[in-house]
Amino acid sequence: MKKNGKKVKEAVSWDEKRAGLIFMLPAAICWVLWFFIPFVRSVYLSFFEYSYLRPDEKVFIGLQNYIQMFQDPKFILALKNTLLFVIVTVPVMTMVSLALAVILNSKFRARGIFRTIYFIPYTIAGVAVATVFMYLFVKGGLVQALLVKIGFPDTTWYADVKLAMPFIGILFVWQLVGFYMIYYLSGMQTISDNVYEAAKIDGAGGWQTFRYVTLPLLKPTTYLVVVYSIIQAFQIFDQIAAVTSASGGLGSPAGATNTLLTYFYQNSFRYYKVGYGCSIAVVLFLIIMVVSLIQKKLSNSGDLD
Amino acid sequence: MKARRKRLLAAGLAVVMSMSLIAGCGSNKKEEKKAESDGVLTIGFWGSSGEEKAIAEAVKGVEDKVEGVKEVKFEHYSTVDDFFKKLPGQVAAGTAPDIVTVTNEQHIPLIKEGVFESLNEYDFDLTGYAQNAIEAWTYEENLYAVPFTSAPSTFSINTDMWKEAGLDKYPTTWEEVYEAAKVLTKDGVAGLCLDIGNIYHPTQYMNSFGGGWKDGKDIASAENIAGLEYIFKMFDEGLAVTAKDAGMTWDGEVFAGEKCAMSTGGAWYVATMRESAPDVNYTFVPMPGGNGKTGSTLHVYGAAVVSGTADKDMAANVAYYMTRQEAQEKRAEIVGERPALEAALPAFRELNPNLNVIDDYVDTATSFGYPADPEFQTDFTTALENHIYNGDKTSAEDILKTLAEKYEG
Repeated sequence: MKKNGKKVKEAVSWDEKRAGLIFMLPAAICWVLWFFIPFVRSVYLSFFEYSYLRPDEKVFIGLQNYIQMFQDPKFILALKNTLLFVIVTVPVMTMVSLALAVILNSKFRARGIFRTIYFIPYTIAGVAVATVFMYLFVKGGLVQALLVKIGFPDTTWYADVKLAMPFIGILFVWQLVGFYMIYYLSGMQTISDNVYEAAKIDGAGGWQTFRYVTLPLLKPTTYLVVVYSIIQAFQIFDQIAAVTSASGGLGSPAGATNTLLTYFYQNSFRYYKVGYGCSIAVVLFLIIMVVSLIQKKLSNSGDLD
Repeated sequence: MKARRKRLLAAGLAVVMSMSLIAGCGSNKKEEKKAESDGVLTIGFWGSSGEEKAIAEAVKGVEDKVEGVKEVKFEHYSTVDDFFKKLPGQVAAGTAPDIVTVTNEQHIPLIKEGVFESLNEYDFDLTGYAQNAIEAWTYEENLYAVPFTSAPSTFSINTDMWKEAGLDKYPTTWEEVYEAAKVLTKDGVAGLCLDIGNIYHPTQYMNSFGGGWKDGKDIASAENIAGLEYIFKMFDEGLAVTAKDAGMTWDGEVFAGEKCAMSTGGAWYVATMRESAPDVNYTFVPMPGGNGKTGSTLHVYGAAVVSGTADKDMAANVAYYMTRQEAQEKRAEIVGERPALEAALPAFRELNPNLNVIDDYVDTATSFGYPADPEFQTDFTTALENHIYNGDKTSAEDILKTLAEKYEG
């Protein structure tokens, strides 16, 4: 609520506060038990040489895991791959989902069917999507055969060092774009028709209405979409595991699809270097935090109301 | 909802989601397994339904033969990868099976991490068991599983393609394979399938050139360098294909799909060929040699007792019981695997006459010998993929010397 231009807190009764706290409590307890305590423990373990199969033999090594990490070319490659993946897929995801939402928010026949069609990939398991895409992008596969005709190299995308990560990016965007499209659609439906009427009276055309009315009013939705998709892009795992595990191992070919998360997994669960794995996870956590804070700062520069 | 609240909510969720990311690695202290045995044993394995049938046959009558056993349960892992991913976590959580049937390919890291119990104290009578199979499961003078198969790899040739290409005598050396591959590579079919995604295949070449990893003690030997140079030559000249290149998951699938004419395989190809390509004619020949030397890898399934089992004595005796002659014969019949017990071999030979070629060189086959650090396998595969998929020009010698520097010791 605003009073004399200043925001003031709405009065909430003690009963309401207590009810709120009681409703929050079960989730809060679960969060503390299953996320916060393991999180603190993970940070703690990152200062040790530790294998979960030999928990009594852990050795305190201070910052050694962190020092080793920044001298480890595989970590550097994984970091590079992760950042590039986020930088490319998040804007693409945001723009495509917004474009789809704009199209599917207009009135035309069979609109509901199209909305469902675009949302379906999100409901399919990542492994299944990856398997289908592998058939499409294999040398001689349906999509690959078409791509060759427009000048792409005749190769299996996920076996090619330069194309493996773009392949993961395509299937990542394809699978999630429908989910974010729904976000935008619900955001658009909260915009009052009166605003559009006013814009029309002021002489705004289609593009101007979108640029100066729809887009600014969707800013809170865009913020959510960008934050969530950044986190999901940083955490991509299933699709990479499905594509690479069968032959060559996680991150293949030649580490081209290794991300911070897959490298964390390899170290913790394949090489039994849990301490080192935890230090990678801590760095990943910090990166996501910093990116989220920057994003928040940037979106704070304008009033979202 | 006000936008500011939305922002705060999103920021909060970002913290929660990113925290949950690292929560996974903060596992608790290794749990103790059930304190007392209740006579119920669980046996873990991966593989087809045939595998389950073979194991069921192996434990038939165990309640009468091993004291304390009341019931045997099975835990079926969907794939070998699933097995190696899950088992260490199960051991840490105290929920692992009591016994697992497992091959000797990835066993050293698990032994070093204490996943398997040493069986030395039981002094089992292993007379008649193949010596190299016992050695494959012996690490630092401790026996970690009772072997029940002993299968060296073989070289598989599509005989239809071979005849069609006008080729005659089957190759006995890698140079002859190279010459044959030049003739066989055409119309989208590669002469050779070499699945570099699995270190087992390149290891065949190291061993057959007279080298081998030797538990990480001789990684950059002249023989290994020669083996790796040969692999590079086959890819550089377009004579070999990987499973990934062919859009398939493993070499047997490539061979069955007739995308290659030759492959390093083994007895496990039999079931695949029977099911997926019954009309394809093929044969097994001894693993070719390189630089005047020979060698191959030896696959040995063993019954291992998992650390933390409630009754180690009972589990060890059941593991030994599972490898008796009758069980190995049944296994040969059901899944076509070559027994480790000499007395069970006649039944296998009768059932699989096309694999009798193995008898000629089985004694020279040795275990995989990968260095104990599992990261070695990733590093080696990455180096190969860098050469094959990325055109990296680092020489075979430099690759192996770099690996030796990191892993020998």
